[in-house]
Amino acid sequence: MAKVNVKGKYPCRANWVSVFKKGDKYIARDGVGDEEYEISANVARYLLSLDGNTHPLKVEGYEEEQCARMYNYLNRRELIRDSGSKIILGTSKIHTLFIPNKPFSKSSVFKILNAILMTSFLPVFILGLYRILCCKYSADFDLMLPGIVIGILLTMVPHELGHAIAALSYGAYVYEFGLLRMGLLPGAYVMIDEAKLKSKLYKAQINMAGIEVNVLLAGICMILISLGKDGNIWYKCSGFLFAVVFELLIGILTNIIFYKGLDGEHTLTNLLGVDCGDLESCVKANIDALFSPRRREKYFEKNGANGFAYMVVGVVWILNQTVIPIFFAAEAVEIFGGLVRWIWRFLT
Amino acid sequence: MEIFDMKVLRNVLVPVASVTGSTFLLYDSVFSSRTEGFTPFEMIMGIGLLFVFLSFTDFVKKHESVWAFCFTIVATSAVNFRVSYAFADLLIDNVLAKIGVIYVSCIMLLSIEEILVLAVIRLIWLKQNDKGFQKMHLRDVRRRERMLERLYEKIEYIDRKYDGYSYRVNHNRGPDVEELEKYFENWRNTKCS
Repeated sequence: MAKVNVKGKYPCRANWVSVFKKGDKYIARDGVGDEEYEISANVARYLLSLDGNTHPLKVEGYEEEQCARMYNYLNRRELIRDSGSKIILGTSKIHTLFIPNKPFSKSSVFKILNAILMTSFLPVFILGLYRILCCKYSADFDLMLPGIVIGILLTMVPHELGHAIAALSYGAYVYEFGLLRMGLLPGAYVMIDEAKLKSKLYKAQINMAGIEVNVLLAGICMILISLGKDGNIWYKCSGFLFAVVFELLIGILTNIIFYKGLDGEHTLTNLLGVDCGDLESCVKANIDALFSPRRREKYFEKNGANGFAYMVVGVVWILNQTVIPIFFAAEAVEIFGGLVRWIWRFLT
Repeated sequence: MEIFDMKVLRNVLVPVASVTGSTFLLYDSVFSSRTEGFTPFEMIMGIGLLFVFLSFTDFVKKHESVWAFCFTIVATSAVNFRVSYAFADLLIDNVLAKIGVIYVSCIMLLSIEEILVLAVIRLIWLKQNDKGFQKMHLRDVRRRERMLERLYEKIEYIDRKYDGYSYRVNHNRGPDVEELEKYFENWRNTKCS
């Protein structure tokens, strides 16, 4: 399939969309949304001709009205992306930094990197923790502020690279890599399509790889802090490293929660065996069965004692979805209140 | 009597004994009153009881992951609560904030434990019956797909009627389409959940 020019003048076929023929039908597959649409041969040809350099209403072989109709149809299904590397996707503004020539790789480099990551992250972290708690070292806290700023980048970018390395090592597709902004919150993203993988462990590792990279980096930083002796470079950098470790740990702990959309939830979803990656609808369907006597009877008849286990998973998931936002909202109010109080005291 | 059948007894006694034993051992390994400090042997025994439960209970067969999830919640609840309480007690004075921090740190610890345990369980029991979640999910997806198709037909009808050919460069959603998208969102939230 021809590569699209996302920085072109006109909107183009989204680079995470592939068009292929299945029997006598044409399918447009949205790799990121994990959805497939059956389209006519005409629409498929039109979609493929949107390469970023062609005006969407002036495609050869189609009238303008026909183009507009097809464009609206495809755009509504999010198969077309706007021109330029900065686009709005859902609620976030994304900035594409890198699009690989091929979305997959057969290189063994990624396999080796993934194997190193999987085997080393926990021992390195434990060693770092041991050294920082039990060894003697001296630290200087001068460079905390740059550490906080750079720590944000060090938390996000290697995290997404970890996902990409794991995905490429197992043969999943990686479409693009970039930075995003959700409201005021900065972030990074990597677009992965893991639908063709069958092993749930592979999928779990892809989702977990980001956190593993963060744990590995935190371990390495802690080892470097523990090397600090009066006057040497690790002593001078220890403030910076402490700030980075702090941010990495915050990132790890917030990302690992069993909460919708976070890596922890994706990983647990894979490990529990939900193949489509959408635990929410499964949980809702399971819990739904509780509220009608007929459905409840049928449900336990079908699932037996295992139905109880599915219910427990559902209840834990729902509890997490309700309590965690309240906690973080309360924390935000607390922080904001503290800030207002501090400003008030400063002014008066 | 059937209740004293060995199979029934095993399926009742093994879960109860392993869960209570594991809870006690895990708690005792971290906060033992007899020994000072961490005792790894008790922790290994506590984790070993999970495998006893998964191996010797009949109804768990082919559903090891889900049952390991439930087992871990119960077995680690005591130690997670104690660790979280110690952490919150050290940092916070406000009672409400303390409750929140205890709950969230319990969840964090639980998630870490669940991921570690379930990864090992998946490695040991490779073939599991995951249809409990799957069937429900697919049924739900099919229902949603049917609803979406019906809605898309409706949108296209309105689109054709009023503003079929709206197109602007760099802002490709016409105003009426935006309204329809909002309508679509509300519709999806109310009907599909």
